[in-house]
Amino acid sequence: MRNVARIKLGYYPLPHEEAKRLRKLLEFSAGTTSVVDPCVGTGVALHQLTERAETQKYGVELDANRAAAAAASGIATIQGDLFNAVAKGESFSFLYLNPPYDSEIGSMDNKRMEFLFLEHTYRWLVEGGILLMVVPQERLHSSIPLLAENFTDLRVFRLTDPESERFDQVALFGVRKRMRGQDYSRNRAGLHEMVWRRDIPMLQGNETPYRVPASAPTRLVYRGLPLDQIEDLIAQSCAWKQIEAPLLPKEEMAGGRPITPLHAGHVGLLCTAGLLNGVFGKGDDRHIARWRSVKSVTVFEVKEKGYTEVHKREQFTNELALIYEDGRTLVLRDKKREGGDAERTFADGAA
Amino acid sequence: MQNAHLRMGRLEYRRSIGKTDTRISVHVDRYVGEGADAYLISLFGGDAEVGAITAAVYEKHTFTVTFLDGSQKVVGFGPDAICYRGSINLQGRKQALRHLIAVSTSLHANGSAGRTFILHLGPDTRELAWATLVSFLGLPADPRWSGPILEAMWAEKKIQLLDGIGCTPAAIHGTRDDLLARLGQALSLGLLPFPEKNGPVLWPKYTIGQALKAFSLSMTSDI
Repeated sequence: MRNVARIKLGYYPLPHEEAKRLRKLLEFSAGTTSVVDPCVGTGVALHQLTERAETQKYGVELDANRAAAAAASGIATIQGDLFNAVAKGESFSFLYLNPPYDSEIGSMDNKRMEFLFLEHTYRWLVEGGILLMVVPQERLHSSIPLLAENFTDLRVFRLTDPESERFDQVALFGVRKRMRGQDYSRNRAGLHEMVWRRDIPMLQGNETPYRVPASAPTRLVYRGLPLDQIEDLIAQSCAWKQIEAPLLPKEEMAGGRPITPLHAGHVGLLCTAGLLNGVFGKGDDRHIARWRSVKSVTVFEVKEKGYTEVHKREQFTNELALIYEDGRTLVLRDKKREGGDAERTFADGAA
Repeated sequence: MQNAHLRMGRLEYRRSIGKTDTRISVHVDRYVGEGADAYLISLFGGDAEVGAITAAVYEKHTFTVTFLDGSQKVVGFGPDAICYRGSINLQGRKQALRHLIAVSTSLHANGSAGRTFILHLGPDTRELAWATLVSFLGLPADPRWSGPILEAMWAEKKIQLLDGIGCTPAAIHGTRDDLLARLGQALSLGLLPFPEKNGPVLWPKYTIGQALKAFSLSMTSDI
């Protein structure tokens, strides 16, 4: 899928004119019918396909804004990943499937989303329930075995709206029925022929309609993680607090005024702790000073009779780095470093 | 915030021992790495998943990370990685979700070896990046110097963007001596303002929450 499509989460809604024509092929029974759209979007398509019928509408949508719009339009909507949505088997009479035209991203065997969405949801249909699947023609191929095994009375129509033609969309209708043995083979061969023929009949809207059986109200449950909620809470996790030290600047500032004047020992301690960093001096000697502690490890060996002891001595020392207003820099250490501790200026080439 | 799935990656851990094939996949909210080297990862999942991944980090095993654009990389933390654990309590759930942050030794020793890691380098976090660099290298500096110095370092390719999920991580190359020389040169040329008054140099305070939120907000505005 292109990046633009990914950002839209593969959201390409069914054109209105096509929805009108498809609606004519659905005859809803009297009484309540539970219908589901696993990629409900804002819910417009599901509303159009069930217009004037007494239905309980259910949907799943990944995008939070579209899910909110669908819920506001009266569809019981779950916001989240479809593969974490669970419904009781054989609880819906009508399944409208317009899945994202994409492949899954995994370490191996990346299947088409059209197939995965169908595989996850077809069991939700009651025996005799109607499947309406809108996909690009070439993408039907991967779903043929599953469709042939679980559906009968299959028909494929080409959609003619310019937007549908862009994606080479076809509409597949089927009635849920378990097919075995020779029925399955016949069904599969027929479906193969239907899917690969060049002159797929165009959808007119006057074809023989499918009868959608009645079904009781049901429930869709989400078993996945609420990622939006987790994203808001995760910054407060104590693990992040423990990792602050190597990621954030250290706070090295002492505030307030001492009760009594500091004497030299206090000043020395505060300096070496880095709590008296700042700007000091007058005139040409105005500078910023910054202290820091440096840990050094000295390794030395002591030879004893028959063995050698390896000693590691850890030592903390303090360094003071200064930068003057005119650009001179100076680093003061406990020991002189060879050729490195002299005051440096930009002019003498050190900078 | 909404649509968090757009800002999260995945981590997959696979291991086969004899006839047993273990495959664990969890959500990743933050990742910092470079090629096959992982420096930091923040992930969450159930007890068993997070426990297994913690053990795998200590055992120096490798993982497959899936980035936001769908690309994948096999990464490892190397020796002596450190794991920090936390938990997230969710409304309506009996068990808390486990949170794990694994950090490599190179990130744990941030600022040493001439490299300073920045979790999120963006136009809105330049001051934070500068404060981090100054703090870890122990530089005498002023907060106002962030712009000219970081821009110059970027132009000289001393700042290298790293692989990231949920952040725009970068590694700034340079030792304290290098940076001190650069500051001295810039001051001598009058490119940096020197503090007008004597006294402490005041740096803004930052929290990890601010650093993490900065990226989420910039991502949302991009989308």
